[in-house]
Amino acid sequence: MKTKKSKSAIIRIVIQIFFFLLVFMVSISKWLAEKGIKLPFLPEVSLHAICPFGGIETLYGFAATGSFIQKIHNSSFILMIIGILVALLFGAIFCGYICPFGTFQEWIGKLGKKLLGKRYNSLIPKKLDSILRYLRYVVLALVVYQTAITSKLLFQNMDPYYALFNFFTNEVALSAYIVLGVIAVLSLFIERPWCKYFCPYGAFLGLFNLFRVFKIRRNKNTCISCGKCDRVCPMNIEVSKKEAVRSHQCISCHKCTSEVSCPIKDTVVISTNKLSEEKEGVKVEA
Amino acid sequence: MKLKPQIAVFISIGIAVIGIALSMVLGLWTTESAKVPRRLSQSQTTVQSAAQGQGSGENQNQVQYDPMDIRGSYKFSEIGGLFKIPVSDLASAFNVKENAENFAVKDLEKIYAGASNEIGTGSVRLFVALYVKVPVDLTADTYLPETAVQILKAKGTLSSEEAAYVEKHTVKLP
Repeated sequence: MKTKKSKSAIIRIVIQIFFFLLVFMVSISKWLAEKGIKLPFLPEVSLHAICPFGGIETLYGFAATGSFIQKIHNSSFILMIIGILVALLFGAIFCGYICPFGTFQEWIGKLGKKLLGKRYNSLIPKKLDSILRYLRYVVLALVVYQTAITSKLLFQNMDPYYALFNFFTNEVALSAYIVLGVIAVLSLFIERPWCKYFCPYGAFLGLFNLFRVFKIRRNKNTCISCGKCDRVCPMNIEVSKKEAVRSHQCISCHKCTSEVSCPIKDTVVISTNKLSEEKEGVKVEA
Repeated sequence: MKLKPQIAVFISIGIAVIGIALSMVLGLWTTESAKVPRRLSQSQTTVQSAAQGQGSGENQNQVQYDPMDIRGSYKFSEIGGLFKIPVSDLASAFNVKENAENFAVKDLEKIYAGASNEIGTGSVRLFVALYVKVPVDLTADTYLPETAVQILKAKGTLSSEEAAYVEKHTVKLP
């Protein structure tokens, strides 16, 4: 069953690389198009046009005036609706597989893991960490409020994702570069610091973990409490103490599941139903 | 019902692909603005017509766009077409010497990077509003290059209040 676990992990890496390169190429394509150079097969669209968070930012303006705020287009709104549909089914799977800024932090984190070993991703005291986890809702509220009263995309000036994929243009504010640099350094010590403490879109999608259809569930009858699911979780969720993961922090990366890390078959799974009385067929993965 | 992680992610990507394809088929998928500013309200249009000395003439039936909704991505040719302003006037007003038709408003910041006050999208909005006689907010501080002020004065349509405002908000060019 080792190959199955590898398959899920490899598929995730391939998807992450694909979306990282896609967003990067779209950004380059737009930049070159403004200089009169057209790349084949790539659309000349701005990053705002393919960012689902733009739809959330313009929601108030759309409800109030029927039009989108500056730089936001129909496509952002459609992607927001798609994002909500997917989150209703699977939670914040966008964060775990697709978001290229999450991938960027994860890649830097691999270096951090090598440097810090077991201390990586466990440096912040638990009590402080648990409070800081709600900071991203403050960011979400501020971004939505500021966008509503100014009708401008002010978040762009602080957005490290925008800075990362537009670093070669002159459209990035110094403040966004600073945030990007800080997040890159923090990623050496903490796994996905932007996702955990600041990301407003992650905050929004995380809410769907409370009532998503397909939850990550642990079968307490077959679980051997080895704690591996806890150790692999990038968001420090204690999966081994839950029957269903409802944490607003879960990014649905599926690293905790029996398909990827859990050594016991069918113990941590994606399921609609409660896993309670499954005792038979307990197999320890090689 | 149980799902493997890869099935969950393929379903998610599938929903996204189908959603985008469907919106394309329905003509809803647009990745750039139509570059049509919002329309002025009836009261603003009435003020504009009165200022131009027109009654219930032909001009009132024309669509009147709001200059305050001009965006940085608009080109001078687009503004000229929407607001019936000669591109040559826009180019002269903002000292755009070459390829004025394709000049994007957001690029003004490059030309006026060293100016004492910001000349940018807000300046174009103000210029267009005063040019086409749309009521403007004279409490905000928006600056115009002196060439733009000269064009507005030469038109002779500024009210005394507007003339005093632009006089106070003129950026002298080196």
